[in-house]
Amino acid sequence: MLETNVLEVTDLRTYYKTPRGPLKAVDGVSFTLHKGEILGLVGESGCGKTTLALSVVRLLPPGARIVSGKISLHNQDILEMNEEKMKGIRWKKMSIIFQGALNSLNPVLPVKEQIAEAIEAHEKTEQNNVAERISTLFTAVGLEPTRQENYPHEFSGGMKQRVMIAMALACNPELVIADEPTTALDVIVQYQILDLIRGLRDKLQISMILITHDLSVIAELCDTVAVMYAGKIVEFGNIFEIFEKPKHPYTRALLKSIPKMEGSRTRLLFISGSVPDLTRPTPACRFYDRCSYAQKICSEVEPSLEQVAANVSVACHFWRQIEKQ
Amino acid sequence: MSAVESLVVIRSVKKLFPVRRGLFDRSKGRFIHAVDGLDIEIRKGEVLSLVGESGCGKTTLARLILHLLNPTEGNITFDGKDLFSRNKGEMRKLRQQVQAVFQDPYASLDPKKTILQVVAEPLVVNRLNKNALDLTKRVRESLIAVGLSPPELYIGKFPYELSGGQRQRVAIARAIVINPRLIVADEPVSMLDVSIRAEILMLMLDLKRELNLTYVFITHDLAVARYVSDRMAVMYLGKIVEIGPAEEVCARPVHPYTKALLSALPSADPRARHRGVQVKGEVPNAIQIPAGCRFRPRCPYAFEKCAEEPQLVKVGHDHYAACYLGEEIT
Repeated sequence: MLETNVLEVTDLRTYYKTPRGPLKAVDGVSFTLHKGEILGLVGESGCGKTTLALSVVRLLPPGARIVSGKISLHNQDILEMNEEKMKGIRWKKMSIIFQGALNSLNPVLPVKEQIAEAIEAHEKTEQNNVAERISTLFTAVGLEPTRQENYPHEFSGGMKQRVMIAMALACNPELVIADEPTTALDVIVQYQILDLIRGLRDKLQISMILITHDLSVIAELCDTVAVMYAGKIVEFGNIFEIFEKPKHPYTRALLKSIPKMEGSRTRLLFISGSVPDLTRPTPACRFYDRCSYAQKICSEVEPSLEQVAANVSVACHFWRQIEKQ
Repeated sequence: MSAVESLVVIRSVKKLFPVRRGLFDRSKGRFIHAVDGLDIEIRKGEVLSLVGESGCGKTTLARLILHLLNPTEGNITFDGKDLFSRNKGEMRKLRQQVQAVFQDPYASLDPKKTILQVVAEPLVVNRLNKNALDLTKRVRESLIAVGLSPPELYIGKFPYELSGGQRQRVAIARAIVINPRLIVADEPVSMLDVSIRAEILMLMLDLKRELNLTYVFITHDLAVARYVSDRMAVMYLGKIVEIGPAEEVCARPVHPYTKALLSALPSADPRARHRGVQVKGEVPNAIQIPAGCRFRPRCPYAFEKCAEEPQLVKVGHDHYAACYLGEEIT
């Protein structure tokens, strides 16, 4: 493992128990995240992106189980750890900003106490020290340090998201996972938050996984991108390569389905059909039913994620033809 | 402007909501100025989009047009007739011509009703169906029109059996079943997945052509607004700050707020990343509207004159903006 590799996920499978049999939410996912890198995880609802994130921090809901695979954080196997040891990792080594976290602040406590709680639960520090650290954190995320006395209802949506980011950074983690951090925010505030995340990354050299369904947020912020479909990564690699020369038909279709601010208003392309039911056996290539390039082989042989260029991996039998178009 | 016929005319409409008072609250007599003296025309056959951040009043305006709210001041006419007249029979007829499509297809369809009952509801409540057979026929036609065919497959189902995209199609089928002339769509695609969004947008535009509809399209997504609409109106704190042809407004915005919105938009091209925020802060609450130009406290170009509230002035062909800088440009 290279010195700069922060997180390495190998062939991870996370299944949910359902009355109809296991739902394979994450089904054989591998990727590496480097120091100071922002990885964008994009895909439709139900593609497994949140399950993947929860697997990494081992905070899966009841009924979900990591069936196989390996998750290494700095060469430490997370899946081998007991819960006690895991507590020492969470927040200190990696933290997560949950989806809809804006509303998960305790309304009857000043935000200061909530951040202090996170720090004190994970580190032995002096009271004075904590207060000082919260002030530093508030400054870092662009909030007045005096605001830490306030209650959550005294903050706007954008400011609450800043508080959440401050909380995630409280114990100086190396890895931060953010699940849809700007989805509930307005454009201008979204821009301010993205700018803040970018600045923090540059300054602190933290690694990030940014989960979103919004391709333009990915384009704005990420260095690498992983496109997920039905529990698998179908395309992975450098942001510029993937946005300019998408090789997987799903990535291509996604990029063509969003209205652009420039150019003429041509008809949008869309992907007909819907995501397959992951409790049932799926065709060899999971995108088979919705793919316009699909041929017989796609229903028989599952395409594996193969490296096809210096910085790009793709899971499609026909990527060469698709790339040329 | 007079060359094009207006379907809806909104004149100096205000909608104030009283701020609810708690036990020790001293905010007696305070109001939220959701829509604060607004004039706009909706032209026959156009797609007019209303864009702006949360709290700008776009949904309140939509609810006023839908007659779900009464204006505090001002009036709204539909096809020349007062939408808030006292004549109940006439009002009922007018209201049939305006239908709504809402944001969340999971919440807007009654979970205990079959798709047949959901889509038939506007016909039933308006007593427009001749008999049960006619009712089913019209529901089927409507379902086919929105691409849910064969309709037999869907008619007996319940909303939970459908995907998000299919549900939104049902909501659209319900809106068009009584042949309205105007559809007010409030964020109709923002709850849907990216791959389905495009499909629903295309469907709505196709229906508009086939059925000669007029749309008021509310969205916070400027790229969607630019894509679907003929004209775009940008709202800020209960007022329209800029209105004009959609492509024109996006390509040559005049009002600093429109400029800020556009420049904050993440680009789908990673090579076009931008840095440096132009606008600081967030939208102030709509209880204490800033005096003068309401964007003044956040505006990077504000000067003395902005202490007086600017009116919409012509800044290009069919393009109006409420900013003194706009005047200087033309």
